[in-house]
Amino acid sequence: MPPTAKIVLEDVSFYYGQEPALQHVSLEIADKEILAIIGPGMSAKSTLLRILNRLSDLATEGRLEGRVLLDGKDIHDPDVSVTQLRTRVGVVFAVPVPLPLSIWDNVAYGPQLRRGVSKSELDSLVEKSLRAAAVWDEVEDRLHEPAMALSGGQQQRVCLARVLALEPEVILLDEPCSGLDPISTMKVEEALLTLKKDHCIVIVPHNVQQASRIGDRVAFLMGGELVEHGSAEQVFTKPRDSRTDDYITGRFG
Amino acid sequence: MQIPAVPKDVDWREFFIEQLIRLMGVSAIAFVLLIFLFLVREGVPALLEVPLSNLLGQRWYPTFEIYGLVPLILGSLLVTVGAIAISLPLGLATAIFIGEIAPEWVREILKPAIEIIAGIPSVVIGFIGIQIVSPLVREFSGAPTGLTALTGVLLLSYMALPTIISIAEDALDAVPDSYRHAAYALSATKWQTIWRVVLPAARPGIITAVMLGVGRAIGETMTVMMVAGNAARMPLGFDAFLRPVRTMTATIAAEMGEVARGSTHYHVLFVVGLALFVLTFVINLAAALTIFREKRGGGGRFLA
Repeated sequence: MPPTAKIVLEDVSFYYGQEPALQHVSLEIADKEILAIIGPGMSAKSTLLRILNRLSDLATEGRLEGRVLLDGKDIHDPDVSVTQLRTRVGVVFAVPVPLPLSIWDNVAYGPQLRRGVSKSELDSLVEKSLRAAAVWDEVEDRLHEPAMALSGGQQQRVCLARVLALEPEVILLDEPCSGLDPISTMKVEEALLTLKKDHCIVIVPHNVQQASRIGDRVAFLMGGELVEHGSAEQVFTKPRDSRTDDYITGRFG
Repeated sequence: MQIPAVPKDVDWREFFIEQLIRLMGVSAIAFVLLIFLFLVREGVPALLEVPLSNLLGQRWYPTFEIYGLVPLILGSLLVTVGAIAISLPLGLATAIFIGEIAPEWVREILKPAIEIIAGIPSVVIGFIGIQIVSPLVREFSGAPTGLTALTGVLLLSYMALPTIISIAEDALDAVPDSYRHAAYALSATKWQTIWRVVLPAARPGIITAVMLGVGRAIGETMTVMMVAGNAARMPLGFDAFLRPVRTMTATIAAEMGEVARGSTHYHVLFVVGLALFVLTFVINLAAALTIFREKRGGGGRFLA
């Protein structure tokens, strides 16, 4: 059992129309740890991530069964505000999606949506977030240039900073390094290892190696089913299920 | 495996098709140039015969050889600006509703319905204008006649709407969903997403929509000729909208049939056409420059 469960999934299933994606997943996600969700393609890893901050609501004809608890509170309760939930649970996508704004505006976008944040507070928040995402040194002189003009690796770290600026408790990352070169990947991973000290992080890594480098816990999904989960050490050295073993040793996937 | 050699005749076909496409592209530009040259050729004699001070005068009275173009130009500008001032907010709001808010089935009904509006002949709209809009304008404004600039503005804005709506809707549609999801993920509400992300991203397309709307309004002839009263007076003062007005297009349409070919009046009408041409050209150029500058500012760098 993880020490403190930040998020609890109770028998969660998700359907796109009639098609089942995620099937009966029960999982506890601890605070101040990195959970890596691994598995072959089409195993609903991204769906699982998107459920955690209710981006899954946007799927046409999407349907959810089961309960998702954040700090013991069901995130689908009618009295839960979706926008509030999304400030607590931030997400970084596989392809960096800088909004067509300047770097500064991209990072300040989330906080600005809340009222009553002063310009100087924003300035310091932007700097703090960019530093935490390990990209400050590269962009400090060009904060007011369009974010689209940055390299892919820089864009992805600006997107991470943009999420950090919301001061979330949970950070979701969907293959955040899939388009990045090794050095950018290393910088993102270093940033995550620092962030884990006071965040709950759930990442879908783009390969098994990344899961083993940064994951404290690993969940292995296959065909929408949670095959097994446990500490990274246990899953990688003594997998309980033969399918997990086959996957991590590269027999398929 | 051996790759078969490309047959010779394919090379020849490639060349032929390429040249054909080039010819079409070049001829489209050539036709525009020819139209311009024709206007210049027919208009230049007027510039030689009529002193510039006359052409820049404030009265249009061809019977007495008074050819002041200013009231006509201002008349065109007045109805066009008025029409866009109404149809831009209305059209943009409709486009946002269709593209971002309405459920799928409503969209399926609204989109073709709007294209049908675009297909109504302008003379029919002019007819509706005379029969319905003009009496209403007279009644509500207390103006002596219902054939006013305002009547023209109302009908033109209606005619520019479908253009603005469908082009703006296409522009919104072209904004990638990933932008919307990113904004939602940053805790934006639906309205914040539309206002702060989708609209700015669609801006070049929306500017194009407005420009085509302007083109529709400034070039429209039949409707304004029927309902705007056609008095060539300077449309100045607060009541300009409630007085008759005459546009450049209506002037050409109304008078071209009655002038002697080759007369001064005939050539001056071509100068009016030239002024119209230059005006639309300048407006389009300004729009293109705005879009171009924004695109460059937006950073065209490819992902590393």
